[in-house]
Amino acid sequence: MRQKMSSLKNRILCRLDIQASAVVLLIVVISIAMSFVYDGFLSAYNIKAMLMSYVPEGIIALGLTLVIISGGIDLSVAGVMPFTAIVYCMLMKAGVHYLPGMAIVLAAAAAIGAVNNFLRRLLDVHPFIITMAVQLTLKGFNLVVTGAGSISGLPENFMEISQVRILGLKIPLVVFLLLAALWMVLLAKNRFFRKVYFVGGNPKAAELCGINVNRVMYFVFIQSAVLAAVAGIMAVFNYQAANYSYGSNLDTRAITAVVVGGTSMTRGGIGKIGGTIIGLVFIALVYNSFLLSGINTYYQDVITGAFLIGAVLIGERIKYRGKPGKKEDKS
Amino acid sequence: MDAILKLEGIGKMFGGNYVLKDVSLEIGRGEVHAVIGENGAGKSTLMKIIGGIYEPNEGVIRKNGEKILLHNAIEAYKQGIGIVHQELSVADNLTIAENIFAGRQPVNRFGFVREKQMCEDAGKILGEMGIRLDPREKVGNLSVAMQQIIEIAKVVSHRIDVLILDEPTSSLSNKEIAHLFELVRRLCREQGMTVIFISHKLDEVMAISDRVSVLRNGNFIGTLSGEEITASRMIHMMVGDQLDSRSFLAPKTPEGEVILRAEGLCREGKFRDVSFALQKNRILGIFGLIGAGRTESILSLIGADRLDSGRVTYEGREIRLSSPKEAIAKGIVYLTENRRDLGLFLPKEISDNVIAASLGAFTTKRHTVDRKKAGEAVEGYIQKLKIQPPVMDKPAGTYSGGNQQKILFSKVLLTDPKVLIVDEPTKGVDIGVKMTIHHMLRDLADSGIAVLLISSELPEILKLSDRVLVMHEGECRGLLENRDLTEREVMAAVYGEKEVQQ
Repeated sequence: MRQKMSSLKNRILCRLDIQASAVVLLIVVISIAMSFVYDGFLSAYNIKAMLMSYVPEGIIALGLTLVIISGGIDLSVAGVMPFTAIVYCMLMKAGVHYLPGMAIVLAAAAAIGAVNNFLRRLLDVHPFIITMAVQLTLKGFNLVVTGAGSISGLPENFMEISQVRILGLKIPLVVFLLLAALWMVLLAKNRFFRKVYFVGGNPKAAELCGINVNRVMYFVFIQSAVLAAVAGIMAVFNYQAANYSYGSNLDTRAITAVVVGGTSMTRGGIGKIGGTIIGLVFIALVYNSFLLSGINTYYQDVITGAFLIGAVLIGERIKYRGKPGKKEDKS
Repeated sequence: MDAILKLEGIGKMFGGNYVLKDVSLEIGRGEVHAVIGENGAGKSTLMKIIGGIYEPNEGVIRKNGEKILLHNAIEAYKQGIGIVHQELSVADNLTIAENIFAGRQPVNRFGFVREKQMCEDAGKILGEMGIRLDPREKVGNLSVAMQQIIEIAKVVSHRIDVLILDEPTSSLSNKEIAHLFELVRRLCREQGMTVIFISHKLDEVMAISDRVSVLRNGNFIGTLSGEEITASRMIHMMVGDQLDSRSFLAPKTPEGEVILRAEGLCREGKFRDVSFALQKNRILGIFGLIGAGRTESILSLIGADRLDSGRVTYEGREIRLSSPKEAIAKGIVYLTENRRDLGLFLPKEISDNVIAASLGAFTTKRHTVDRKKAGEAVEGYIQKLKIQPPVMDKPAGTYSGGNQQKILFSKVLLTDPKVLIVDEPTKGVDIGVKMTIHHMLRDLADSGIAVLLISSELPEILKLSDRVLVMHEGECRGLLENRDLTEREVMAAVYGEKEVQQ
């Protein structure tokens, strides 16, 4: 019995991540402080609004978590997201029903993800540069197509469906929550998803274990692009329009959420969806606090940047001190 | 003999050159078969061929008499052959069980991992190996030695009967090596495993092997068994007609004054009361097992770590170094055992590497590098240290480990040190390079440098040191003059036996 207790204690300690705990603690402190200053900070209305405005970042951060665990990065998401929104609106305006339209843009996004990985492998360069180029290309396309403006005036049937609420929640929020739950369970339990950890932790070893590393990387980039497309579709649901500027800074904020949540950019194979969600809540909270406080919102990014550095500091300096993988003192 | 594996005329070429040529050897069922040879002899290449990672250009592999063709590691597993690579290939953040079953975890209908069954299976495999570990533990929390065991468990879990270990002991302490060997014997005894084992260390080979095969320059030289397995015989087969590596390299110059004296160095929990003196023209060896506090005390001495108390006198004055940079500026240079950390710029040419630490001396008035002057200096070291190939414009990363070590020495020597501290200078290099480094260290001492040699290889200590400081568990256990000093005497000092103090 006693042994069982101690092993249970060990397992809890093992799971308790210092970085995630620190962020959760901050979230609690900020929430309490803000709810003293502003009545209704913790009201269902404000929480929903807060989350709603971070749905695109949230959905994209799910996909990026896998990309970063695999040891890569995907900047193209900031291009794919508005690209999808724009093409989706154009399709609907051209008379395509919103469901097949959705299928078309998701397929297009999957193709973009595949191209990302194809080029990465073909040119044998870091995905940073490839996905940045794809982002630029798509952003340029978006500007040209929209004439640096918006596409609105969507068909009636779409306007109706986009207003539907499920259990009082708007569709984008429901989709995000479902996807987050799904991705969390899959990444924790599913054998194919687990392969991402091996590929990120040690690609050579993964290959020797019989894991098809390239296939896993295709999957990682495709799911990232498809999730970015879902984010774009959800933006259209939210705003009933598409704008070329949807993706600006989206990549930075999504990456920040992932890293604040404990997924490591310096060593692959480390990270969890749960952490990313904590990171998202944290960023949403910080931005919302700024908004309510009426402090110049330009300071938001200063604070987020500082927290990002803090998270990396905790991650690299405290969590992994003396762990192999980086330079290590001799015994 | 009942051969489980038969290699017939194996040849392998890389870029038009043979790295293995006409290698034929037999591995007996259930034996521990060591494969030895210098760096570049082709051991690892041969193992990778048996393990399915490389395909041979020539020759045939037979298992149980049948010809087998392997295109990758997975096919080798199917034939019952598994290889544990030199570099650790575990995923830190995952559990022991997941590492063992990487990508093959038992799953239910929906592709979800059946955690309980996976842990039970992993526990069973570990149990059969006599290892008691919780399969739910994260691999990153284990020692390097344990991670290696997990790696072996991973390979064994493929239900193999031929296990290849590629230099499994290079980062293990003596105790861990003993443990590993016990495991190897157990696998042979209880699971009828055949083990092929690559090593640099001859004493290990003697301790564990039933038979030993020797490769030299890609050729098969021969197989020894039973009483034929002696160090001198193995060395002879590995290097051909070179000198015995053990005899003492005597100094050629008279001993100089004491340049550095350390008295009563202490750091809590690491070492206490460490004292020694370094003389010009002499080599002081510090011997101790892993955890003796050798490296720690030196790191504190040069200011890379905290020093709680103690006095350091250098060139007659008391000093307190606060950083390795300050130590270098004073002429005290420390070379760590980890070659990758030593600061070679692998993509840059040798010449740039060699002058990297003394750029000031090669800078013209117009703040450009004096290429001609630098070239002459570098050329000198290439000749002196016999760097192969002797050209200046190849990237350092393309050189073998031993030659990289030499490039590094050149870089350090160019800064004109007065005290040179070397930590495990020959770790992981082959015998030929080892001998060159030994001679080089003696030459450096003869040129007036005070050398401090840290090593856990006793033959190396005895071959080079004029005096030996013995450390154990953070304490000095004696300062021995090397006059026909024997290994037994040093080990006796380590364990505190009186008889040595005569």
